[in-house]
Amino acid sequence: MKFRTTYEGPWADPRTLCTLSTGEWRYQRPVTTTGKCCQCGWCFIYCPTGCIEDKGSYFAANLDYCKGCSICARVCPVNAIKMVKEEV
Amino acid sequence: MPKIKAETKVLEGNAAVAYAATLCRPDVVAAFPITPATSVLEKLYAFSAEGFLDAEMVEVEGENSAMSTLIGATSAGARAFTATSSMGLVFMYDAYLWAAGSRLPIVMPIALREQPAPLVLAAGESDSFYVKDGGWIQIHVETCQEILDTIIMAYRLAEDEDILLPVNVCYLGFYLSYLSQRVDIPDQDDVDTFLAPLKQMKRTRLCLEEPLTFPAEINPADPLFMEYRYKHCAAMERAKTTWDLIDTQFAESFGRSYGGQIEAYRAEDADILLVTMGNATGTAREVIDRKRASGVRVGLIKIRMFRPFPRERLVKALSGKKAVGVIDRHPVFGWGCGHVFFEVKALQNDLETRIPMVDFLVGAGGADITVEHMERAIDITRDAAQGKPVKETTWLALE
Repeated sequence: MKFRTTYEGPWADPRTLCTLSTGEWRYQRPVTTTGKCCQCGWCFIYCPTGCIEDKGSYFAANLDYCKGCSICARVCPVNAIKMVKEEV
Repeated sequence: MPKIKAETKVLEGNAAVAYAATLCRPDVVAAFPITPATSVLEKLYAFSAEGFLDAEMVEVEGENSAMSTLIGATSAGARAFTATSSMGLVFMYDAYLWAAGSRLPIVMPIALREQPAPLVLAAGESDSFYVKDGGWIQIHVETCQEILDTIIMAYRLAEDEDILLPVNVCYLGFYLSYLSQRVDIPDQDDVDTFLAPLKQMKRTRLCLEEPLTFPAEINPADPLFMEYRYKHCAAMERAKTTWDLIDTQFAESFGRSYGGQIEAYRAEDADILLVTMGNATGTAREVIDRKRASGVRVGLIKIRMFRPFPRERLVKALSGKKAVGVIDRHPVFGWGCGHVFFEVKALQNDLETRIPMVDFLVGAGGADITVEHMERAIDITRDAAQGKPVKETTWLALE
C-alpha cells in the first residue's frame, strides 16, 4: 500500500502538505513590487489563508493557495502590492 | 483532591457510567441531558462539585455542540467524555461522523433508546443501529458492572496509537440505565495504572510549537481521501484483536473478563446456538440452562463488539453447528430481518459449510424479552437444525 502522508487522520503540515489548492479559485493575483516592499509584514498578518511567505528581502503570496482576495494589497502601507487580473 | 476508593456499591447503570468516566480522569466533559442518559450528567456534575472529577465541564446548548466541543478538545490532545441517547445522538450526527473521520479518541456511552417515530419513551437499540456505519467502534454490554469496566477498557482502545478511533459503549436505556445492581468500583490508583500506558502513546495534536492544519480539507478527486478511508478501515481491523488483548489485561488487573469481542456460554459442545447482544443475554442464559436440563444441546454467543464486527471469532464459534438463531430487537428496513441477523448472515460465505440461520425480532419499543420468547426461539432454531421448514424471521411477540 502506497501512502502519501504519515498521518492517520486528516492532519496536514501547512508547510509540506496543504491538501486543498485554493489558488485555483483566484481571478486576480497579488504582484509585489519587490523594491517598494518595506517588510512590515502586514500582508503576512492579514492574509486569511496564511499564504504570504517571507522571501528574505520582501513578502509575496504562495500562489498555490492565494485566493486573490486582495486584502494584502489593501493593508500594504507603501502600496507595494498590485492586484492583476488572471488571464484565462 | 478526593479520590474514588475501591468499594462495592449498589449502582444504577447511569451511575456506573459516571463512576467509570470519573475514574478515567477526562480533561473535558461536554454533554446535554436526554432521557435515559440524563442522570449520567447529574452524577458527573456532582462528582465535579465534590472535587472527584477535575474536568472542564462545558455546558452546551445541545448534543451537536457537545460533540463539537469534544472534537476540539481531543484534537488538542485532551481526554474527553460525553454520554447521550436516541434523539440526542441523531442531533449530533454530523459531528459524530466528523469525530470518526478525524480519528479522534472520544468515548461516548449510549443509553440505547428507541428512536421515534412512532414516539415511545422506552428501551431499544435503534439509535445505535442508525449510526453503526459512521466509523465508530461500538461495544454492547449486559450489566452495570460491565458498563463500568467497558468504559475503562474503551479508553485503552480509543487512545491506543494503533487505533485512534472513537468508541461507543452501548447499554440498554431504562433497563440498565435505571437498574440497580451490585457493582465493584475499582480503586482510582489501579485505574490510573491500567490507563498509564496511554501516556507513552504517540498522538498528533494541535499545539503552538508545531502548528498543523486540522481537519484538513482534501481537493476533490484527490486519492488522499481514499488513503484516509483505507487507514480508518485498517484501524478498525486492528481494533478487534487489540480489544481481546485489553480484555485479558483488564482481567489481570481487576479479575474480571468479558471475552473481548464475543463471549461464549455452553457453546463448545452445543449443536445449536443462540446469538444475543446486550442485556437480553441474561434471560437467554437462564433458558439455555433449562433447555440443557431437558436434553437440548444449545449454547450461546453474546456479541460484545458490534463495530468492527467480530467476523473471525464468530466464524470459529459457529463452525460445525447445526443451526443458529439470532435474537434481535430492531429490523433493518428493506431487509425484514434484524440488524444482528443481517451481520451474522453475512458470515455464511466464511463458513466451510452453510448453517441454517433464523432470526427472532422481539423486544422493540421497550417490550420485555421473556423466557417464553427465548424458549420458542430455541425450539424454532432446533426445527431449522432438523431441516424442517421455518421462516427466516419470526416476530416472536406478534405471531
